[in-house]
Amino acid sequence: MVEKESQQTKASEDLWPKIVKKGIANAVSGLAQMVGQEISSTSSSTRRVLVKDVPDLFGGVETEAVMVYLGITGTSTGHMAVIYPPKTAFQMVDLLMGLEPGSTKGLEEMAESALAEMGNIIGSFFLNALVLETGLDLRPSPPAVMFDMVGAILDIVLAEISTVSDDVMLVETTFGTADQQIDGTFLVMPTPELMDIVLKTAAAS
Amino acid sequence: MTMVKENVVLGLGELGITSDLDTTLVCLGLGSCVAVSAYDPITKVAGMAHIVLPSKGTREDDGQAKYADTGIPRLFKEMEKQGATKSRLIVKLVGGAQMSSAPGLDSMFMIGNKNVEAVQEILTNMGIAVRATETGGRRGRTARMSVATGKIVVTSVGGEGKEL
Repeated sequence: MVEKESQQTKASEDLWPKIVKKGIANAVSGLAQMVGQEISSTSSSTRRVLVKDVPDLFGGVETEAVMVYLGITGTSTGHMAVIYPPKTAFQMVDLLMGLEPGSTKGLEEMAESALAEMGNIIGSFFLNALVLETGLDLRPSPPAVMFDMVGAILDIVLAEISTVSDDVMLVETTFGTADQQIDGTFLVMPTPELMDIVLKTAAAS
Repeated sequence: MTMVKENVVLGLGELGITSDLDTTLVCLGLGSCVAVSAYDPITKVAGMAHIVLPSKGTREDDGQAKYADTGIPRLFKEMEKQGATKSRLIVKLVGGAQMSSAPGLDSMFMIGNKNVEAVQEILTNMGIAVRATETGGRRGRTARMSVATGKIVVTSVGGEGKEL
């Protein structure tokens, strides 16, 4: 009986990467529409990591990074974020605003707003795919752009997750254009409740 | 005498107590989190807690310092065990920033302020005064406390170090 149960859990957890893949494909096509260039996702993985180890994925707590954050709201909650090293974020701003590569050297209001819009597109398109798959009501929060130490920009998200779980199911995707290497990491961190609902709904449909 | 300085880095919700004079207690990249540090200048017992959330609520206690309401009493209790006297403790607070003011996300990013308020209230209720603070604002911070002196150096990205 116990064995059967654990097999069921495993089977439904296997569904998560499949659902996520559709979400990411949709997010990437949304981004491509926004910038008017072909964007491809170069790698994508889903795995469980300890909440406390998440900052290490971005060079450690004191490393500087730019994060575009969106909460997941609706039927359940979760977190989405696009995270770049500063230089890469500036490259992305050049691309988004149609500027010569190398033009952006800091995050002015316009640059920040371009990144916010990018986060909005990626988050909305990703969630739309999940909604299509499950019929659930899932919406992105407004985007927040932060530029600081990795520990500082992530601690609130990790704090929220850590109240319900010691580990988190992480989706990491890097994407870029063909002629410019702009690799960003798109993180999706559902609460255990959200993942449970998504998997149950997807398995039933 | 050894000149090697050892950094003890406290991650989210971790608690560190020592009287080893060569040690520096460190909280790196504090955003909404609050580093509560305490120091007994006579016995040189130093303690630091990397507080993440205001209260435990209905959740299970983590046995360390994730929550202000259980972590702070634990910090002082453990320090007393190592020879600190509560009435002598010099308490300083670092962190509790609001990293974003994006509309619609205010309640989430208000956790920094809530953390600072909760910590202050708990300390007041325990009859402990706060000697110095470097809290609030919009920047992340790193706090380093020297066990030898009890002094705290606070740094942030692009900013000068500040001593508390």
